[in-house]
Amino acid sequence: MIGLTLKKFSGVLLLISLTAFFLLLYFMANDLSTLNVTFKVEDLQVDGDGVHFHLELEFSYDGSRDIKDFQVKLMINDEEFQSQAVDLGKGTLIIVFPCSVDLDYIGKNLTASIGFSASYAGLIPLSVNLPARSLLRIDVLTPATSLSILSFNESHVKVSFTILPLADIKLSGIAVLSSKNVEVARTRIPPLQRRHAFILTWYVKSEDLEKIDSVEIYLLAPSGYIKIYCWRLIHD
Amino acid sequence: MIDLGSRRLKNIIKKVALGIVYGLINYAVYFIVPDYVYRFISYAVASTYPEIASIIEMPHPYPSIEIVPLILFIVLSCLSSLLSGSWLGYIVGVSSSAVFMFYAISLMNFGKISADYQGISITVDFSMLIVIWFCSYILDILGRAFDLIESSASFFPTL
Repeated sequence: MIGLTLKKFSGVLLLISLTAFFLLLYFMANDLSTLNVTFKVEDLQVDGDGVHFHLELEFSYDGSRDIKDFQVKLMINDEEFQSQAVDLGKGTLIIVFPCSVDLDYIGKNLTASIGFSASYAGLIPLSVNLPARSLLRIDVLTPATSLSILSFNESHVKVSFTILPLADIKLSGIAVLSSKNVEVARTRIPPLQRRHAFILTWYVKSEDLEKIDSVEIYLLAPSGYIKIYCWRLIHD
Repeated sequence: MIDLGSRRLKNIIKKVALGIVYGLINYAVYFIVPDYVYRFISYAVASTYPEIASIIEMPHPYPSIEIVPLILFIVLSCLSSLLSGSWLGYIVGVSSSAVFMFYAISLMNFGKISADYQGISITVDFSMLIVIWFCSYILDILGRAFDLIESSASFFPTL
C-alpha cells in the first residue's frame, strides 16, 4: 500500500511539475519579449582625466510576472560595471552607471556590450548577453547658431559663432577657423558651464574670409590640445 | 494437468514481452521526451530573440529511432522484468533506471541551455526541473522497495 502510494505520488509530482514548468516557460518567452531598454547620458563633465557621465539605462517591462534579482552588466572598453540585483516589475526601472571615458570619445559613439542575469518569477534563472554595439554619441558641445559675419573695419571682419555646452567643461580650449587645414584665426575658449551658451569671436582679414572652410574646437588636455569637433562650412 | 515446464516458459515469455513493452516505454520516457523537452525549452528561450529562433532545431513531427539505445533499453528492461519480484530484480531495475536517468539528464545538458547567435547569448538554467524529476525518481524506487517489503520478496526470482 505504501509502495503504491509512493509510486502514484511520484507520477503526479512529475506530471504537475512538467506542466507547470512548460507553462512558465511559455509565459517567460512572452514576458521577456516586452523588455526594452533605452540609453541616456546625464551629468556630463569634462576635465583633464576624461569625460565623466551617468549612463542611464531605462528598462521598460510589461510582463505578467516579476523578474527577480535583475542585475545588469555593462562593459565599456574592457571596464565592467555591474548593478545591484533588484526586482523588476511591470513599469520602468532606471539603472544608473557612473562612467568615465577618454577625451577621445567626445563627438564619437560610445560602444558597449550589455548583459543581464535574472530569475524569471524567481524560478527560472537566466542570463542574456548582447554583443558590443553603439549605444549613443557623446556630445559635449553643439552649434547654437550659424556663423555671423560683421564688417569690423576696412581690412577685417568680425566672425561670431555661438556654441551651447552640453557638459560642464572644466578645460579651456581654442576655436580655430581654418582654410584647407591651415589656421586662419583662433580664439580662446574658457571653461564652460552646461547650458550656458558661449559666443566665439574671431577677427579675420576680409580677403581670408572666402577661404575659411571649417571651424575646429580643441580642448587643452594635460597631454596637449585635442581636437574634439570640426564643423565644415558651406559658403552661400 | 498443466506441465510445469510449459507454465514456466509461458511465464518467461510473458515477462520478456512485458520487458519489451517497458523497454519501449523507457525509451520514450528517457530518450524521446527529454529530447523534446530540451528542444521545446530551446524554442521558448529563442522566441525571446527571433534572430535565434531560426537556428534552433525544431523537433520532427515523428521521433527518429536510434537502434543502439533502443536495444539497450529493451535488453535492460527485459532483464529487470525477468528478475522482477525479487531483490535482485530490484537492484538490476534501479541500476538500469539510474543509467537511463543519467542518459536523459545528459541529453538535457544537465539542466542548462545556451544559445548563441551573432554575439547574442542566452543561457537558461532549468536544473529545478531535473531536481524535481530526480525527487520523483527517488519516490518511485522507494515505492518499488516498499512493494517488495510488503510482499516479503526473496533475493532471487522464482519463475
